[in-house]
Amino acid sequence: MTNERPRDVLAPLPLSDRFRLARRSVIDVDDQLVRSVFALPVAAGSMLRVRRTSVNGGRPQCLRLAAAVDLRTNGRCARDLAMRSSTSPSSVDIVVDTYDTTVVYLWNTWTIDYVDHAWLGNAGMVIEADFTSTNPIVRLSCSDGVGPVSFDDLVVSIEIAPMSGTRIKAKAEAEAEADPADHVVISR
Amino acid sequence: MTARDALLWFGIGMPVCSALLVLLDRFFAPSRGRFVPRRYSALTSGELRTPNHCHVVQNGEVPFLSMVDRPLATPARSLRAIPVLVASVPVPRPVRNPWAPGDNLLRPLITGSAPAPSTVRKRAWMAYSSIASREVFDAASIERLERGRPPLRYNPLVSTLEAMKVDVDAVGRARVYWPENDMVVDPFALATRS
Repeated sequence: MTNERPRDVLAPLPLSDRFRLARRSVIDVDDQLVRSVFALPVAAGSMLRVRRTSVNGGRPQCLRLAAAVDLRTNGRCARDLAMRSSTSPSSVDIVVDTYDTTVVYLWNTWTIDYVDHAWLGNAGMVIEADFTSTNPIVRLSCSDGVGPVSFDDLVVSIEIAPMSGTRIKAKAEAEAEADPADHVVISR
Repeated sequence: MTARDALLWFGIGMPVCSALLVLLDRFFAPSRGRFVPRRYSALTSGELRTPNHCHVVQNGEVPFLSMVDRPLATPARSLRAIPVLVASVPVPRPVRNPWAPGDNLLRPLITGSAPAPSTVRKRAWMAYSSIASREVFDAASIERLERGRPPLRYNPLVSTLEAMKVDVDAVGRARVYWPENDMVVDPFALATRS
C-alpha cells in the first residue's frame, strides 16, 4: 500500500482551491512555498520602500498593504492601501505610523472589468526575503488568478528602511505636542 | 375598572401598539414601501427621471454594470437618496411578463409592487452572470451567478469563505465588489486622473 503525498493529489487543482482545502495561507507547490498572504514584520520608525520591478499579464496588477496602524504615502493616510500599476509610480515610500513592531499584510490583486479580484484561480506569491542585511529586503513574485501559474505577473521588492532623522524628529515633536502626559520614560 | 383607568390604559396601549407596528414595518417591511407620505405623493406619482449625478463613483471607478436604458417604473424606496426629483409622467401600467436579464433591476414585479432588496440582488447576480469574466470565475461560480447567488472565495485573512457583494443604486445600476475592497484607498488615484 502506497501513501500518495497530498500535493500530488491536489496538483491539478488551481492554487485557490488548494489554499481553501488546506485552510492555510502557505502551501507547497513543486518544492517551493506559495503564499496567498504574507505578513511582513515592521519595526517602529520604519518605512517601506516599494519598488515595482515588472508587470505582466496584460491587465492592471495591484499590491495590497493592510495593517492595524496607519500607512502614509502621497499625503494620504489609510490602513488599507492599493498600489495599482495603472495609477501608482513604480517607486513609492510608505511610512508605517507605529510606536511598536507591527505586521503589514501583503497580497496581490488584479483588475478586470473595474473589479479588483484576489485569491481566485491560480493566484499566489513566492517570497524571497533577506533579513540579514541592515535594511531587510523582501521580493514578492506574484501570480494573478488568470490562466496558468506564472509568478512574473507582478514582481515587487520591498525594503524596510529606517525613517530619516528629520522625520523621526518631526514625529517626536508632534507626539510631544499632542499629549506630553502620555509619554512615560521607563528607566532601568 | 373606572372610566379614568380605562382611558389611562387606552392612552398607554395605543402608542405602544403603534410603535410595535412601526417597528414591524421598519424591520420586516410587510408594506414593501407602498406607504408614501402625502407630501411626497406628488413627487412619486410619476416617473422618476434618472439624474446624472446619481451615478455612483467610488475610488475613481465607474460601475461597469449599468442598466439605465429602460425607464424606472417605480419610485425609489429611499427619497432621501435622490437629490432632485422630476415627476410629470404618470405611473406606467404593471408589466405582465417577468423580469429578464437586461431589464432594469428595479423593475416592478408582476403584481405591480416594488421588488424586495433580496430580489434586486438576485437579479443583479443573474445579470452579472452574462458579463462576468470566465477567466476569473470558474464554472461553479458562474453556475451560482446564473442562479442569482454571489460567487464565493476563500479569504486567508479571515480563514473563511466569503461572498461577493453588490450595491444597487436608486436608478438600478449595480456595482459588484469583494468585501476586502470596500474600504481600500488608492493614494495615487486622484493624482493620476487629474
